[in-house]
Amino acid sequence: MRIILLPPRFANVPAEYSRGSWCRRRLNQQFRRNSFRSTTKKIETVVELESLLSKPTWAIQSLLPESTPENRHEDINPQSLRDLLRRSGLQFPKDAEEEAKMLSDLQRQLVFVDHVQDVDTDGVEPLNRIGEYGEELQWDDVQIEPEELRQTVKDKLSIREHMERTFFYVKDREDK
Amino acid sequence: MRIYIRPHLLWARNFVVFKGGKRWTSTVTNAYDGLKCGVEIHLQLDTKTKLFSNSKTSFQATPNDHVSYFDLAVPGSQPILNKHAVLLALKAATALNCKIHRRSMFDRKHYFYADQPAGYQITQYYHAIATDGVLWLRPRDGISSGVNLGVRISQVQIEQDTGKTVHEIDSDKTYIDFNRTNHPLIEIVSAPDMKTPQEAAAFVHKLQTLMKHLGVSTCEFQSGAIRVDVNVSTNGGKRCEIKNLASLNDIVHAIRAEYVRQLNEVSDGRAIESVTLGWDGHNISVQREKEGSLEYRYIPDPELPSLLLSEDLIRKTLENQPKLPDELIDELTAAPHGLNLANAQTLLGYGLVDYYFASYKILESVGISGRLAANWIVNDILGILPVGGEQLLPSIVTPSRLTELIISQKQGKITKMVAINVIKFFIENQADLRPASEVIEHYQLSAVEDDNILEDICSGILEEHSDLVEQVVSGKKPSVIKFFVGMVMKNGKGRFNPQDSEATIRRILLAKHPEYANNPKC
Repeated sequence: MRIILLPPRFANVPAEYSRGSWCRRRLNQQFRRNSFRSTTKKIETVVELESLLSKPTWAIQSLLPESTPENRHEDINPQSLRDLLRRSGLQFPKDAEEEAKMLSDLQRQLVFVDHVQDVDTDGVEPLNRIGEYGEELQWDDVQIEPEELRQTVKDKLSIREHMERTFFYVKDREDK
Repeated sequence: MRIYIRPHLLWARNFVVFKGGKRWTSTVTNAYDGLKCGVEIHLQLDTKTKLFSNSKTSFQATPNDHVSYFDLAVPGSQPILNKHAVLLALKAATALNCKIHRRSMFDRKHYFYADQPAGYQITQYYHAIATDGVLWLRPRDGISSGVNLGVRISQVQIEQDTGKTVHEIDSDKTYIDFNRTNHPLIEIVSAPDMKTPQEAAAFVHKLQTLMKHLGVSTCEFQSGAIRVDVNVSTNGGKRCEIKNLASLNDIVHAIRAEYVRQLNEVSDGRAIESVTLGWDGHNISVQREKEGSLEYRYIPDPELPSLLLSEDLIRKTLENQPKLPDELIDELTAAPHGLNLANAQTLLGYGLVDYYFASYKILESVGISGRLAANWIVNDILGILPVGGEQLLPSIVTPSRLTELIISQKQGKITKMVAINVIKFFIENQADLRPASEVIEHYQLSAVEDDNILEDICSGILEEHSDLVEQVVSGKKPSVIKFFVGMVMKNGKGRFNPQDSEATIRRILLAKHPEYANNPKC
């Protein structure tokens, strides 16, 4: 499975390139050409601004083509699909048609993922969370224990109604 | 079963056992050649509230009495870090000589199980709070090699505990208690530096002593405060994990059984696969395939900011570190204390070292050997305490009260039996804060010098048990005299010295039965 686990490093890690394809190279060129064009012209009037904003220069559909033999990932097969669905807690496809649709969707999504991974992230520190930097913990912050909560979920009738005696429960399934 | 013995090899494990057609013991002089074990220890931190919510931590409370919305993963609930738990983790990491990372992150480890309603556990996978430490084992810690062993600590990370599932017979339901969910844990991962099962057990034991001393965790197996998983590999092969070992003995036996199993697999021609095993007390059994890290789909938790520690915090944690167990035991076993290792370890294990030092100081200042305090504490007092009483000891039987009693006994003012009874009195009547001398005075417990009373009591006892007198005097059972001494102590309510009592009894016997002089006195 070509899903590469990129750890969010505080140091830099170059994005790994997946297999190249003529289709992606073409799209890259197109992308660069478009961005090049849009950065050369300087906008001076409101009319120019409005005209620029009125027509999209790029659509996300260009990154989601139908999968062609060139950019198809070979390790997407019914077995790996089921693996993914099991790990995600999703339901298996009901029939062959649904399975075929899931597989083709997955292929298209992977083309998109390939494009994301192609972006050059040299010198860029990964952002794990918006508003990431919290405050540094000081010595005085860690000495005192937080106050205990006096309330518990059992206090809420709507939750207690689902319990048996004082326990929550799940029914055992055959395949457990 | 066939056993072959090789007499030309003098040291351990020089026999080879064949059982059920398989070689059952290793062939080489080192019994565990090629064995490497690493340990993963989960310790519950001793905090009052949980890691990401402030419901109370508990053990054996009524099920689901201490569960907040976040523990139950009710949508919309959010985690808020318990900063005190971070301090305890820092204390642990500092004592293990780890490099503390000023910046660490919390990650989600995804898997589905009924006792984890969120569908993930919050742990530290990518950037743990501390890495690269070492814990030194010495020969006195129970390792057989003559030299010190430095077991490297790969990392120390903070994570959440899961809930408890309860299975009842004849029920199609699994019951879940979420009291334990979100209890702060630290996971201590060691490098595979241990080469015998005994070393692994010694490592775990040393870690328990250290963490208990620091107040990081209670480190008890029974309450589940410590859980141990062991990774075993032989001859550089793939490692297998044995999960949930419940005691130090289990660790030793399980590693031994796994070592044998792996050798057997190899000698049968099969490759060793990475599996997870369980130990039920007697046998090792394969439970499931070991999951790869990809199965867990680790991602940084988007609801928690990075954990940032100030330089000041790290420095102050190190400065405020108390003396560690190794240093304390060195101090106790060396001059001027010169305690034996067992007593030193007992004092340390019960957290009474400072108590002993205080008592030692007072005794030395009046010219009495301070070591007596250790003897009294270990041999006499610990035995009479109720469970958990050792925590009360320093505040109830304060060093001044204890030393008063020791000094009085040394000076002959009271007997030891009386002293112990006074201590029992202190423990049972905690509201009474009078010093020892007042109590002795009040209850008239001081030793009686009057020989007449002693003589009367002794004669009375001897008359009462005249049949036994005959046994002592004739030399058949000389030790019965100890029984008489005990009776005298009991009748005299401990106010007579045992030595005086024995001397008086002998004197009376000698006077009445001259033939007693002929028998060897014991």
